[in-house]
Amino acid sequence: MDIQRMRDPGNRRSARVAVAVAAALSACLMTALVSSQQRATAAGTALLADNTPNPLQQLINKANPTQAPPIPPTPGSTSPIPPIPGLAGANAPAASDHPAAAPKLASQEQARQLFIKGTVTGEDLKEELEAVKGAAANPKAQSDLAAIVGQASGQIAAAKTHNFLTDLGGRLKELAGDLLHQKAVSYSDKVLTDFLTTLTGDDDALRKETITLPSATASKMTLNQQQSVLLMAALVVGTRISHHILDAAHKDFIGLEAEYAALLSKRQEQAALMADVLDKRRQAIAAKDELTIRHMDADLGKWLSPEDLKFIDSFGPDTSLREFANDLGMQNLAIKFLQHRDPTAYAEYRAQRSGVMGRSRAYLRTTSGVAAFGGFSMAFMQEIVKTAHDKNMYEIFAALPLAGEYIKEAAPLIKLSTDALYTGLVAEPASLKHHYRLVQREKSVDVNDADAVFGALDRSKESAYFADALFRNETPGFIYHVYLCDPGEAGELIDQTLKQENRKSFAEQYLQMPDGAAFSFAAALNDGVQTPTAQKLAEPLLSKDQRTNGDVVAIGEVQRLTASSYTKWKTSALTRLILANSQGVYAQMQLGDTVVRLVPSMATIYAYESYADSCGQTAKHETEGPASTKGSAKPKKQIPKPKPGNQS
Amino acid sequence: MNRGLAAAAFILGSGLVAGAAAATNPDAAAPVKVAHGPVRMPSGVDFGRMQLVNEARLIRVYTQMTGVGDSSDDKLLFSRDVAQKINLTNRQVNRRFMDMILATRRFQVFDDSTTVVRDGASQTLDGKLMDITIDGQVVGSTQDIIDILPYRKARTAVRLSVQMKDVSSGEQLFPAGVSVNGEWGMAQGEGTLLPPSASTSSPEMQISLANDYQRALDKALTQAVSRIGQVLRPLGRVTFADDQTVSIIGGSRHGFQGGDTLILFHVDMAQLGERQVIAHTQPLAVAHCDGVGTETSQCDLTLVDTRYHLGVGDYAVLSDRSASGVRGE
Repeated sequence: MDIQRMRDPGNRRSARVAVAVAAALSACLMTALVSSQQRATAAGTALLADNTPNPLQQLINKANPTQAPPIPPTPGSTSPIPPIPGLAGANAPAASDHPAAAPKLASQEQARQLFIKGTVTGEDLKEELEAVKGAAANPKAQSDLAAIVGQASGQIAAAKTHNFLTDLGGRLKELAGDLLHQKAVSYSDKVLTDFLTTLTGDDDALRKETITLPSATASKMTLNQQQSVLLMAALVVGTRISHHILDAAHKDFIGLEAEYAALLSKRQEQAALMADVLDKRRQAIAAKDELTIRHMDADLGKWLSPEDLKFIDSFGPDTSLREFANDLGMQNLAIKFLQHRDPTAYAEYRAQRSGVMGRSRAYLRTTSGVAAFGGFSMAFMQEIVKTAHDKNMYEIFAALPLAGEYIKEAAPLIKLSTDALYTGLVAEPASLKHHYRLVQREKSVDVNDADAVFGALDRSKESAYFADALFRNETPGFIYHVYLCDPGEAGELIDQTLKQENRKSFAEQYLQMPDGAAFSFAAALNDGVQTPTAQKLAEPLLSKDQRTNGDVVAIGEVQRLTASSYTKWKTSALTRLILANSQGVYAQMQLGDTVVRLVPSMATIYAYESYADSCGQTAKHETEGPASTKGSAKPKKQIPKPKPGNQS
Repeated sequence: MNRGLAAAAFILGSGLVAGAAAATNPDAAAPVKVAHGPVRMPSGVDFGRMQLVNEARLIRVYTQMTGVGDSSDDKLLFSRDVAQKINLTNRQVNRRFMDMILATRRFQVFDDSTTVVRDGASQTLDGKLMDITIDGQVVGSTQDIIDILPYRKARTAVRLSVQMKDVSSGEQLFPAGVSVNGEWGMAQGEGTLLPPSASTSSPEMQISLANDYQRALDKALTQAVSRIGQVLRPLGRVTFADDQTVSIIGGSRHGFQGGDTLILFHVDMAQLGERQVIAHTQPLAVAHCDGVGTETSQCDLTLVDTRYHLGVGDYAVLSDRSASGVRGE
């Protein structure tokens, strides 16, 4: 039989039905089968046929309770805590009652064909990858899948037939140790699922990647052991393809830097051109040439608002062209000016800008997807070890074919995921520099990073205004403004200020998650996690100041910790915060007598444009009619546009 | 335990670690390790409040507010008519002040509308005197326009003076008084925004400016309530103690709430003329109360000063951390 035909979904369905029927028929013989299996394992019986109570079969039984008698759940697989809507993956109760489709794994005949083939491609293992994808989206499916592998590898370890780690080198033991002792890493379920969809959809890449399976006959594997080996093979293939994807993304990013430089240059050029026009207006004002002033103001008034002109005038006649062109707000106005003055040039600029932004987002999507896959890999391996209760991790990995290969391939991805947690996903080459301009009345000073801004605010006694405004009752606080267009980023701001144990406590005590070790506010807000009172977490967490009195003490404590540790925020976070809270295109934030402005750089341009894009997308989403049935993690509110008399 | 209490039981970084039993049984108590060492005595203990413990009731507070929007040195940009229009009056502001004090769930709060007799300087309800009177007065407020180009925006500051008197002793509980500032418009997103051509005298701007004043005043009131909470703390009395736990008369009716940390202390009294005064307080231990009852609470000891003995009749007072921490509404 041809491998492709073996992988026909129709056949797979038939196999599932057959197994389910067999399970129903053999229910009364279950006890006898179990004892028979125990005897067979103890004796090291060499049987390729599946005469063990297959965990897969148990899964099918659980998923189809009407077709088979109920099987007692795996210890720890049920929870007295009701599922919280919106929770899944790293931010979900570990064993919720979410209905999980049973993972589709190879039938006996399919497995036999694959093992006969020996060297298989990623395409041959596509359904195993689909099973991994299913497990990524549902914690119950993940633990069930891990249980299949864990039990199978436990059986192999008991037989002590082979030590695969020895074959692959001593360093793997160290890698396995690192892997299992890593703290759980949070990742967004959406990001991971999107990444795995891309990966499983890339047939070309799957065809190119091959892996050689061990001999099933020589290793005397049962069906579930074979299924486990195929799953590990699929994971190895998945991690290898992830490496290729990441390498390609890194190469693209090198080209992206040059594109940013060109974009920045164009923005400066436009600001200089506008400065030239405005200089003529200024000369007319100095010469009291009323007619010219009237004409110019009427002309400019078509393109720029009175606020824009006031902003421009605030730079004063002595401002150098360099200084004038080196302000993000001014450059944004120049682009607005260009839009009306020269629509063709503006269209060219937009195309250039869209290309750069599209490639930047693709890069970030890839990086975050690969990092999420790394985080998932770690969680999955840890879950496997948990399910093999009587074996330690070295026995598991030493016994299971391809587990060592998987560890070797996955380790760099896991490192990427843990690094990403602390450094942020935006890779910033040395050439990307952030700059802020602190303006106090007539004086201004440029500083390099967020630390310098926070230091200056502290010295001028204005840091209290910043901390106070992070959460507000009367008007949206600074972090809520970030959330409106970028929920994940808002959560990231909180994650950076809280210790892991604080996040864990919050998840377990307030959100009632059984294991909050991997909880992050970034993923929770991104995934639209709900509170026990079925509110979106963002509402009580961000839209109300609960630092003194509050409905939920736990939220008040999180807000307090955030406000007391905001100086941990990095430059990219502060930039985003300023943009989310600034009015229109001016890219500035007022705190007491100080105004913090953004100086253009590749990073600030990316931050500005991506913020504009994400807000645009939110706005588009919000225009969908109430009949729309699509679920949304996006916030409901929009940033209010400044109107006369509004709060600024 | 209701959800509020469950949430209150969660105090980040409290040092209490749920054990394995807690993970499997929702009713299992978290094991608590008792440390040994000296304990710091917090403020907020006075003879008058100690006497109230046995009455098992919240402290009765009478509040009055004066000077809202009419202080002689006002530099406000909105008219008195507008203030009236948005109910910016002494009575309305006093109501907000009362609500804020009530939200701490530690006091019974009254004003002229609930205390029916003005007996000299004291208010009474059903023939009983108030315990504390709080007098808040707006002593200064300013509103100015600053340039945040391309806009101008309003910046409002309100200075509130608070005096608090113990009715039974007639003593001021803030010996030097308390002066707090509320500001609105100091950060991005706050304060009335004025486009280049807009005037502050337009009706729309006037309302917006009056709202700014109200928000600044709210901030001042919030600070004042926080200061009051530091001074007037709930007290309890020990009815049982062993090496690990302590029982106290003191529950939600006294102003405690789940998750509170208490300082247990011993008091020695002395006669001074015709009245009794506190001669000496000795802090003995720290206790954490996962949940509290209406009148009594069971708490776990977390820190004990082994040089002293904790016994029945000793007192408990809310710790500094809990007094300044988040209070559940």
